[in-house]
Amino acid sequence: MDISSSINLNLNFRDSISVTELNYLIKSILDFEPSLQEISVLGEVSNTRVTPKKHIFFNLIDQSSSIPCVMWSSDLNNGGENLDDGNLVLCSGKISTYFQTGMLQLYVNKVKKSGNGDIQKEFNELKNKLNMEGLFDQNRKRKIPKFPTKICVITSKHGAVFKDIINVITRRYPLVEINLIPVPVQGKEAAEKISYAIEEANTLNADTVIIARGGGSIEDLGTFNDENLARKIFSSSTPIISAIGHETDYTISDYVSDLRAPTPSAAAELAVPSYIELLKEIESFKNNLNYTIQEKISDDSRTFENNLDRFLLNTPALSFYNEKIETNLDKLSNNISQFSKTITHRLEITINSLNFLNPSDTISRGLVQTKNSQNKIVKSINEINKGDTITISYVDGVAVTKVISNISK
Amino acid sequence: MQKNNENFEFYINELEKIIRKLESKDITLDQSISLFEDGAKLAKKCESILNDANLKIKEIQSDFSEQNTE
Repeated sequence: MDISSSINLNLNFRDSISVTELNYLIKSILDFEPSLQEISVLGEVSNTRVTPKKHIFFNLIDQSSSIPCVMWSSDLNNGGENLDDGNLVLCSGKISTYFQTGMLQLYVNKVKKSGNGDIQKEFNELKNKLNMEGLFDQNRKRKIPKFPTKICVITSKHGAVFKDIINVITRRYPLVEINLIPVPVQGKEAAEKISYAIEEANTLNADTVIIARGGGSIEDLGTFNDENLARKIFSSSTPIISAIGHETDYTISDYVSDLRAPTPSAAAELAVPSYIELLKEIESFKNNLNYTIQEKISDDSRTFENNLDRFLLNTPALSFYNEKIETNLDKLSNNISQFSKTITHRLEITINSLNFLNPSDTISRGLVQTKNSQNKIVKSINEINKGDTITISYVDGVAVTKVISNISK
Repeated sequence: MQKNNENFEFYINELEKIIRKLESKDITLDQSISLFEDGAKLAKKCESILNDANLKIKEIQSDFSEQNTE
């Protein structure tokens, strides 16, 4: 690209130099400054990165400042092995710039370790202290609401973090309102500003607060190792998800938050459900519901049918009573007929004996009945006298006779 | 009988109690008839609750499927 044609031609170029010229200028000044040629710097190693060619890039830090450093792989045997974050080291080398970017670096050719760095030590001390106080207790951590309506995001308004969070949340769950509370995420005042932002989020009736920051060195993330900020997070009435730095970065804020997300995008995913998954879930609930209610109804129906059968089996046994009555009636009638038979028999006997006594019957057997003239039955010889007229009855007629003589026995 | 007790489980339990009483043979005819009368009412109630439930489920299910086809 022809730079001169694309910028405002009204500018005066006569006194200007190119970027490359500037970078060379800086580099040459630094490279010829004797006080920067052989120096030893005491500091803590931070944000160590090893390139595939084994060159080591890191930052050397103290409580308030940092400087980028590089140690070429050819110098590694001068104490560069096992160089790690938190090491307190004495670095020897020179200051120069990488002319392509103008970036100033300490070119380290010798390293002397002197144990763990202060920053790491302070971090561990604070971590242990807050842990002892119970600020990291799992059982005091609040649940992140599953279906939030309002989420407060505390992060920088610059950079990709907030955009990433917005993208993820609107894609997954567009029903939620997102409020940004912009804060600086590094520097001296950052921790205090973030504390205020948490207070503000608590007044906004948010369901969830996300505190997020993109990746950075340990000194960049130092804000989130602030003790007061940690206590503010602990006392927040709204559940807080923290997403600070990269997946491997752990800050005090992460430990004390209700939920720690490896990255800001992950925080957004943890803050809201996915509506597509929710729809699937609803569908499966529906099927489940259908199945369960059908089962319940057929269970109840079976219970009912069984009970009904059992109930009908126990219909009051009228037939039993009927049988009882019939049996008794039978018995009764048997008794009666027996009785009547006996009676009849006895009657017959009686009648027979009566028959035997019937006078007309006696006559038929040849006996005769005698009546006097007054038509009275004569039962004794003494009741008749000689000369009386008596009537003798036979079975087939009467003879009127005169008594010639009467002789007593 | 309290209103909030009036559900299927309550009625079926009552019905079972009655059946147990009917099954025990030491009751009078009068008692058994009165129990039978109560039992029949409970059985009818159970049946109508089940029928209502079935109907309601069918309605809801048809609502479901309408929504799905919208």
